[in-house]
Amino acid sequence: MAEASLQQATALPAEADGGEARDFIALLKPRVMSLVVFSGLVGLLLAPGSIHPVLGVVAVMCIAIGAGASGAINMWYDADIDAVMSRTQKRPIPAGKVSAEAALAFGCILSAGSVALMGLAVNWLAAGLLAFTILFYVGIYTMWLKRRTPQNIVIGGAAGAFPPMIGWAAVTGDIALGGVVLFLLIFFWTPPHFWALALYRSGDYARAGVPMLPVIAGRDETRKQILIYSLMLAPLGVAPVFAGIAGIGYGVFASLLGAGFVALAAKLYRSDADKDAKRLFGFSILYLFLLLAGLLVDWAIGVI
Amino acid sequence: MPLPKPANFKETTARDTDLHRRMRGRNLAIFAALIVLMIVIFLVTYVRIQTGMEAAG
Repeated sequence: MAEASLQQATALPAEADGGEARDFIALLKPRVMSLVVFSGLVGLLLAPGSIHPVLGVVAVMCIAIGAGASGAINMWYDADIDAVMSRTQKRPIPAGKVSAEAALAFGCILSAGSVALMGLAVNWLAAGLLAFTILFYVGIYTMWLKRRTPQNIVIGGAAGAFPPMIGWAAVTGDIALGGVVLFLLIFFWTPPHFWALALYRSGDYARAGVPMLPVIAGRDETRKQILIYSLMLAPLGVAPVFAGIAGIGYGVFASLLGAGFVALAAKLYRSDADKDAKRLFGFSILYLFLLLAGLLVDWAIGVI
Repeated sequence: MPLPKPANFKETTARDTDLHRRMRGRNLAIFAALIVLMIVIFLVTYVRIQTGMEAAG
């Protein structure tokens, strides 16, 4: 069934003769990019030491372009399953606006350009981490794990967790505890975030043959895993205080947010209702945004 | 004697097609991106030379 849908969907429009500029911008996944930019900026500002503002802007720009480029290569590789899933079938390649080859070339050029610019303008450790992030997202997550294991986003989530570490490395030129804590925060946030989405989109993933946890292990196991990861995430939200990169005020704020996250995960665990999965998914985005914003406010208060 | 044009007839030239409009938009975007890249490279070079001179005293 899934195979038949895939074969049908793979017959993509042949007249993708090169889309408009906005289609190429859509290939960069701007919404994902905004979170990457924000987390990269937080890593850059919280790192001890200083960087010239121009080089700081260039570093964040390179992180954004590198993340967007890996998104474009992901869309090239996943064009067949994107065409099957309702959430993704309007993306430029399945919609026939951009050819798969053009998306691949676009992604490769931007990847190479962002890494080279990061290395030449900022430092080669940050550039190496950026290159590793792009390769990890494309090679490990997209090409290897995504279609093979329900643990795809647990391991693949690391790609989305690297930007604050890259921002940190751009300033300090090394990988320190603070950068690792920020990495872990996003790493443990990713599974409950995506599994909440997968719970109410499981039909989509099943049709596309993507082995997301609800499709393979069922809803009960997924809700249990969401709760377990939420329980690990909540204390990690406070970890920046113990790593010395945030104050007590942030710690209290993060504790409250973490309690909210666990409460929603527990509610979903008990109810198994799609509306609770949607609520947790929405809150998870707000949670990460507020947590990073809290770190920035705490940093700004310290600077003033 | 030329044939009368239909009411909904729109005069188009070879450069006025949808494909050309899209290509123009894309070319302008690439041009803008190259300008931004040039400015970034100029600024980075300037900053690095300046910080290098300051470090050398």
